[in-house]
Amino acid sequence: MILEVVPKQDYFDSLGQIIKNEIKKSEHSIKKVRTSNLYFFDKDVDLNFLKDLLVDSITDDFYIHPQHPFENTFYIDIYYKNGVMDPAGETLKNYLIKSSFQVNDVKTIRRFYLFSEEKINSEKVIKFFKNRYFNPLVEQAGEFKEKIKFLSRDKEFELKYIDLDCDLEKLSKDMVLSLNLEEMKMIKEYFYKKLKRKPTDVELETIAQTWSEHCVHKTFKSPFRYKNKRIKNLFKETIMKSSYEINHPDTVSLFTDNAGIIKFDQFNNICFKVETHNHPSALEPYGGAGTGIGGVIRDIIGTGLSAKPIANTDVFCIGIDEGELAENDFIIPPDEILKGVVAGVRDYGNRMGIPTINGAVCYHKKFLGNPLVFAGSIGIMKSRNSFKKVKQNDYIVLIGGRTGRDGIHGATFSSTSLTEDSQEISSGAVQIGNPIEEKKMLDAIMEMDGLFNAITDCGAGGLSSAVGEMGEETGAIVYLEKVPLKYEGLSYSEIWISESQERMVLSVPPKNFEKIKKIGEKYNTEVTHIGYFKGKKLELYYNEKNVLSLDMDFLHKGVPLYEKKALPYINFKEKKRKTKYKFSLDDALLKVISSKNVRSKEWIVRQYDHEVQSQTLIKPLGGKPNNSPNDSSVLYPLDSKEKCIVVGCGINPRYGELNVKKMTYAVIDEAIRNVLSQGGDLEHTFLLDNFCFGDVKNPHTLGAIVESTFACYDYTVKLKTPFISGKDSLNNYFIMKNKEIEIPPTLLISALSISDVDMIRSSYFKITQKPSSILILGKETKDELAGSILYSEYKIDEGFVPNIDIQESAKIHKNFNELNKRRLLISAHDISDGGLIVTLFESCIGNDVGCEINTDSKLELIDFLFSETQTRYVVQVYDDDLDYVEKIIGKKYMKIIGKVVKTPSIKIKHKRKSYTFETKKLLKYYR
Amino acid sequence: MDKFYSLVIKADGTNCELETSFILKNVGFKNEILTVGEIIQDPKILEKFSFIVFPGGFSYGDYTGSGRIVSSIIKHHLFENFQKHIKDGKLILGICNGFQILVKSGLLPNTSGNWQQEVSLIFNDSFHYEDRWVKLLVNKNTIFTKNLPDYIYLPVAHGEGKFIHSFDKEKIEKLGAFFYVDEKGKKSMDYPQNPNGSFDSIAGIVDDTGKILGMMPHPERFRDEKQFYFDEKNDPYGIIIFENAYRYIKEEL
Repeated sequence: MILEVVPKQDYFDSLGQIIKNEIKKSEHSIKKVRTSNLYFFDKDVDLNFLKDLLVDSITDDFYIHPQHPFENTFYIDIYYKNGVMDPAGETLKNYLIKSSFQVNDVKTIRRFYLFSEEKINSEKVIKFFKNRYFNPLVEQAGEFKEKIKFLSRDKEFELKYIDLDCDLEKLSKDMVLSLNLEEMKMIKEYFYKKLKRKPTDVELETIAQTWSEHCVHKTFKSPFRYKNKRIKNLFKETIMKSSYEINHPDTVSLFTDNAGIIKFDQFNNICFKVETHNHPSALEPYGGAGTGIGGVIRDIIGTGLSAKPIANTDVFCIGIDEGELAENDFIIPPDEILKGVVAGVRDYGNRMGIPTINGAVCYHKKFLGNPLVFAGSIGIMKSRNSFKKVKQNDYIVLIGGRTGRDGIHGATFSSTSLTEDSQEISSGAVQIGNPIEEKKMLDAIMEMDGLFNAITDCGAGGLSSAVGEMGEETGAIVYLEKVPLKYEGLSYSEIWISESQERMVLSVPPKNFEKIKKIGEKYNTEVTHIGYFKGKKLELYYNEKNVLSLDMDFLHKGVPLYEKKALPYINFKEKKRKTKYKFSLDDALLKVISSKNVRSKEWIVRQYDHEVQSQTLIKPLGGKPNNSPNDSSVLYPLDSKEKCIVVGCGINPRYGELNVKKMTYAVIDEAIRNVLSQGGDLEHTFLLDNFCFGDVKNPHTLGAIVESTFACYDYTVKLKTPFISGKDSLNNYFIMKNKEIEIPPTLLISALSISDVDMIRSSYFKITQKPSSILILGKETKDELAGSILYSEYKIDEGFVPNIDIQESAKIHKNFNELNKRRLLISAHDISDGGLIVTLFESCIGNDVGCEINTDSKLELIDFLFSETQTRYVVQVYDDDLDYVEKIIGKKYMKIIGKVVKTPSIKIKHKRKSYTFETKKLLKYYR
Repeated sequence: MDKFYSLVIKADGTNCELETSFILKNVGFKNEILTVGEIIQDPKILEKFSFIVFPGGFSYGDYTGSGRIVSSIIKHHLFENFQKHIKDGKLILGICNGFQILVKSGLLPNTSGNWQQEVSLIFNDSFHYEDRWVKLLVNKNTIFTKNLPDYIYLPVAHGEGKFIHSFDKEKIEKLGAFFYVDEKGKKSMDYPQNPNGSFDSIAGIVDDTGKILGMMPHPERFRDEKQFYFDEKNDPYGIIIFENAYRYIKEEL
């Protein structure tokens, strides 16, 4: 039966009104849009029961098909394709079964009625809905037909052996293994020489997963040759080296677990991880971003003996369409990508009950076909739960959602580039998340504290990666037929490598299994015993047949690493600006304030629940009008008395394109500035690195990686802020018009600082009782505008990229930290994108105040106001404290520039001229 | 039997149970968190509690309308138990998703006495989820709201919070516990002061007895003055609402 629920009046149908307003722009004849929801049940269900469940008696009418609400009106239906997870249908089905109704299949369909006096062109309408209201990869548009198609049962079980006496490169491509010729040869040798047999399909798949760039990070771990220097293991000699040299007493676990762990207070530790989910988000922004967040949350749940996620972060790099998309159908337009990824993070994070507290959005035209989506998660755990160890003979226990065909080949797919037929080949690689499934699993795991020896998540590579990793030392035997499936018909190989979301693997002592199962039942999450950690090898059985048998050593240590030849990244040639500015200061200010990179992100921030769990002290936006951006957000855990967690980040693809080393310094600097200006403590600040670079076949891109990682080492050692975790995502490029376009080298630095709660302050200016002044602390402002927002907006490609003397900047930050500790600052906001003027503006709007600035800078005023010289803060200090502040920070690094005033405008005096900008007017452009 | 037992009811997807429980405990309640499944297995267990709280979240994902599955469970599995709780003069609070559940199950406001849904909470006018702080006018004539100041600030965070009803002016004034107001304190129908377009600026209502309160704003998210969103000293009003419940149970039950 089909039940259709429709709002009683136009007035109750907000979605219909929104669509009408949008569609009318192109389809003028459409007078009205109405929406409804259809529920399909394969068996009849008691109508009264359904009415209570699905129909709001105040606002909704309902119809049992074949009755319809709007006869003779054009409509389209949107519904999930067969085999794609339908979270609403699944939830309903489970509840109906619990209430003793016999249903096997429940589907939900969204219907859109279009009212017009003219004939409607259905193709045009579907084109309008595509990517806006449905994704063709997972959803179908058209009329829903009541026929139930069961996925056909697989043919008789047949073990497939693969012949390796063939064109190995072609085989790798055909099977989407993403292995190169050397790797394929290595595999052939292992099977033909050592095992003296052919591999099975699942054996090849497993090796491909385990050896994928995504899982093993072979580029970062490879030896490099760069400028006649041989680097044995890039990662160990840069990022890791920094952390080990700093040897911070509060780091607990580095680079080994799913996330880095640091000390919080005497009983608790904190862990933090940031992941990327770029390629899936390019194809399916909503699902890609949602499962990105879902995945990194599982990383946190799977750290040590499990942590509780307390906050999420998200950073997006979005393309700019300068007309290229007019003739290109496969790239989703940047605006739709952004809307999709925001909605994805919103729906997953909010439903999980985890606040999304920090993030950034940046734009660059080279992200057009390859946007970047970073998703981070922070967890809190009992200190005693910081380490895990699988014990011999433990049960392998799968917990969470069921396994389907979702995301087959995700790990290998994300290691390749996006091409125009990516949508065709890799539709299986797109996953749809169900946050409620993950929430149930999380609740259950929290209650299982102490009952398991190890835990990890099923991420890229599915069971293959999770079990393979956990059983590296003990061996593992898995009985694949025991894995609970969403539907019949999966082959043994699909079960093993499926990337169905919301699943984790536990290592459980046999005596605890019953207890764990009970807890699972309490939270409605499935707990299944699928095998044992034993036997030294990795062995898979399917219906008693051995389908895989591999040595753990070959699987984990067999991947051949080759020396990579890297050439220096081709930096932008910096030179003094010759052209004269052809715009006024007023124009420049409005352009910068309203630029995509600078303007308010309020429309995004508001959609995220940033206060659930009641631990958020400083929110992304603050101030009386609630729209002044804070540099960082601050978490104050429920049971904490004094300690809090300050979270910020730094990213700058514009600099990345121009000069990788300077970009690296700048983004580390920005992340540090962000946490310190909120009241973070430099001595307890920890960093995460996320490298997103282009095509590793390009030696200059490899050079960029080398330059960036070494710059990371150099600066963090000076700052004494260790890396605790990180991730790299390579091969971020796309093909357009037969041309390969690499993304600009992009490094996201996330910073987490453990601080005292009374050190925390808001970023914006305050009206004070005692006299106070506005100061710039830090480096002297220089003519450094290459890559700045101003130059990007006016397309000026001259000038100098902001440079950092790491010795000097580290000293400034350390002294700034002293000011924090002595509580000498009334407010502090760092100077970053858009320069000083943007910082002043953002500082004024928080309390709806103004400022009077008087500067003796020798620079042209435009240069002074828009320069993005690094290591600068705008702070407010009591006049009584000025001498003290100068003593700490040093005369050279302190400039008194003005006063906070009640009138809400920014007044600037420079070389005897004065300029006034009303903040009210600027706000209109900023919003 | 100890009367200071409070209960936080958790469904799949409920996500504010821990902070709500944290406040209840700190106020003095002996709080328990039970899942809907545990309660269905032993409905009589509800009799132990003087105060039942439905916290915020997305019960069962809210995929078929917010709060619908839990309200169906109340109607079809726990109806008599809730009636008894109410008849015994005990308290119920629904926050956000909990408010949606109370309204859709017919427990609130139940002015007709026949336990049918009388009002609803529908999609925000903006049609998306929104998190922001709002200023509220307080109707101080209820058990939960007495000794609050005239105006308080609390955060809201929801996608379906637009309150609609068909009561007359006088009735809704009486049922209203919290109203969205502008900076000057006047009831507001303007975005964003009224963040969802609620009729008569309603942010929360009580039933005729004042013992059942449903509200969209989250009192449990203002437990510490440092959580306030700008530099002005404001007491954490959220706690007072829970303290009032405790006081009532101590003095009247």
